[in-house]
Amino acid sequence: MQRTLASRRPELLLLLFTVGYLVALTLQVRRGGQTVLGGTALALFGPVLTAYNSAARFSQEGFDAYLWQRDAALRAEALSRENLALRGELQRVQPLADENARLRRLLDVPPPPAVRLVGGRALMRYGEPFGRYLLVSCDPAAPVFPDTPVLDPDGVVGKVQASSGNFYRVLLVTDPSSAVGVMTARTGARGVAVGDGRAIEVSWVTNEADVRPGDRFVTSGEDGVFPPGISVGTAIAVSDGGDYLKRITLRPAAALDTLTWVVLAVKGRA
Amino acid sequence: MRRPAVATVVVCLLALAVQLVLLPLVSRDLNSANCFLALLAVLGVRQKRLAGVLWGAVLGGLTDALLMQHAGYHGIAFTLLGYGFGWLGEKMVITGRGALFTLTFAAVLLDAALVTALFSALERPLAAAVLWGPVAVSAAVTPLLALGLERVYRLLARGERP
Repeated sequence: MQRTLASRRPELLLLLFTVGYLVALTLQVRRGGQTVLGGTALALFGPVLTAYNSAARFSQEGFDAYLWQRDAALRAEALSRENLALRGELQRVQPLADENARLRRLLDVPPPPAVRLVGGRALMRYGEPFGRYLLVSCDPAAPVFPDTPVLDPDGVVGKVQASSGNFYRVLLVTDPSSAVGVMTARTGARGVAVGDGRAIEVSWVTNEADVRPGDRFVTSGEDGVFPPGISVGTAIAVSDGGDYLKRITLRPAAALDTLTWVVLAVKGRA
Repeated sequence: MRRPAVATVVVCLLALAVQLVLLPLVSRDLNSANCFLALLAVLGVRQKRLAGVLWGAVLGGLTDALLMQHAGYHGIAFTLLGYGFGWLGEKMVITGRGALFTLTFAAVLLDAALVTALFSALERPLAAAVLWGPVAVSAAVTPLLALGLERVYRLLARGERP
């Protein structure tokens, strides 16, 4: 064996040099961003590696799919239970979310000057057909007196008429005995808003005044009860009367039918 | 002092000088002539296969280093040619000018063919029109260089029997 190798030394050396030079060439020459040797190796071993990788992935994915199928019924049952529980939770949470939204809107109400807003819960409307009242409960320590304005995020609700403990009777702005000094936000035409049971009538506005349907009426502050600038309602009907006074009907700005929370504007700095 | 060794060193230096200095000075067209191939022919036919392979590897690598962008094209060709020269040197005694000229001429063609094939396989195909001129010049000049180197070698290694 050794003698054979010794006698074949030139051929071995020839092979060694030839292969060595060839490898050196393939390491130097670059084609398509990589050496020829790298490209050749990739071409030779790429399919094998791809096949191996595909087989391994197929096995793994197949096993995963089997496990997935096997446990599908159990997962479906668990998901159904979870779905049921979540639905129940939603039933409980949705009113809280609505209430939270209303309270947030209340917080956005701009406080009138020199008053402090105290939150109160609107418990119930009562008194019809003789009166339109709202029962409100709030902190008994709050300095709430008769004629304290009661507001909601959209505008005037009414004013406190009487109290007992932490319960307050609020005369709604739609009550026929309610009167609020108002003016149009657009032209400043002034009048007195009086309830008619369901809507609000504005009296003492002359025919010459510039009032149109759609005009927004706000408190004028002249009644000494309500701070100026708070929405009372929007004109839905305007007509000239024979007594030189306009007939104006407002739709109340406050959502009187769905009140849950209100604020009471008590006197004193916020 | 061994005269063949001295003669070998001298013809190597001479080949280097001719390839790098003389041929470019005479004409740029002569750059395609390969003095190292001529040297391989001169030395290879005096050696055995093993020495022929070694000379081929060394001179091929030198040629690549001087003439080519990537080392290996002439390295492979010269190694194969060196083996061939050595094999011929073992089989017969080549002394005539005609034989050396013919051998070198054939070696030029083989070298050109091998290098072209390798270059086309590894890098990019070469148009035949680009090759004919340089190969023709090399085929004409390189054997003459081989004859010149052979003459010098014989003068220096007087008394050596190839």
